[in-house]
Amino acid sequence: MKLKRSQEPIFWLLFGGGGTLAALVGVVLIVITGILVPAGSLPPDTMSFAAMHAFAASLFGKAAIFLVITLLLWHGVHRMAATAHHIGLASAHTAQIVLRGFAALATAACAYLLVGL
Amino acid sequence: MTDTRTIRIEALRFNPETDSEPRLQRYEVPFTPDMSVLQGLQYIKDHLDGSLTFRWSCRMAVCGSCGMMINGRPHLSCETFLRDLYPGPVRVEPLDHFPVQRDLAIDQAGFLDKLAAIKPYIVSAKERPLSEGPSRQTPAQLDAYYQYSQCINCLLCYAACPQFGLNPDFIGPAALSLLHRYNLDSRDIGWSVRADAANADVGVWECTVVGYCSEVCPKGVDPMHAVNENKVNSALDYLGVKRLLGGR
Repeated sequence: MKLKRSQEPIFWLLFGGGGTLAALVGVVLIVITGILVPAGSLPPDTMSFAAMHAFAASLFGKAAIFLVITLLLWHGVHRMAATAHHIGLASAHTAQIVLRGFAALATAACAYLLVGL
Repeated sequence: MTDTRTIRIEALRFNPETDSEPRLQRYEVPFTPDMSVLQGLQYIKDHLDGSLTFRWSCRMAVCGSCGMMINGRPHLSCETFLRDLYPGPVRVEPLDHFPVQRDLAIDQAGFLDKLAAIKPYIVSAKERPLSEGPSRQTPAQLDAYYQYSQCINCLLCYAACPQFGLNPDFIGPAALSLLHRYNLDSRDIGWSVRADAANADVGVWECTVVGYCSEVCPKGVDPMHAVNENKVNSALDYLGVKRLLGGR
């Protein structure tokens, strides 16, 4: 049998990292940004432009935003590629090229925007 | 006998040497409540049509020979009972995703190559003389691999696996479960012996975690779990930290 080492671990680790992060902070973020802030349960300036800008401009804020956006994205495209493959929408290879390409571009864009902030 | 009923069995017939395509043949089979689908097929072979071809040996879910699609789902025909499928009809077909040799008998050669590739035997660090007596294991050491050692190579999991259906080179659920079984055995060297197979693009990384393999296994083996554990192992190996973090 011909056994060629797979490069899949790179993407699987990104997928796993994104899944862990989604489980740890995804729900919390939805509760804060989607429910508590709109419902007025938190102080009104919690998500004001000034507060958000200050957070995104700090080194910790940049790192947190970058990891949450990009890892969750890599997690999502991994699942979407598998789904596209399972329902016969595209071959695994095509789905991976398109979706991982998108995730790679979005990761680069995210880094560019955060560095420029 | 008063409790004899009749059920229709529709068997797929195909001889690749003479037929252009498979066809279904119908048989009316008398059965008693204690009869399995395998016994129904044996009735057909003995009384109705001696040319019907299928594999069987032990009749008790140990040998793994009689796996087939029964009403579209992979089953061992020896432990699937006609009474549970009454009033029928019962459709029997060869296991999905395999080349057909004749009727319900599939070609297992591809699987046997994969089985050989994962080295399904204990590889020890040093030869152990007989004078040392048996290798002892603690109950915990036995528990580590016991589940996976129950595999009988019946191939139901391959018939259930959509990835194997798409890529016949995929090493597949049973062989990867057995890879895990030997890696987990305290008498075996472990990961390094079988790393090439696990790390391969046709190894654990071909799996997309559908999990139907674990559902159809007649012996309670969980191939999906074995593959998932080895995705972790293979990822650690890829990063070069398997020895550091991955245990055996």
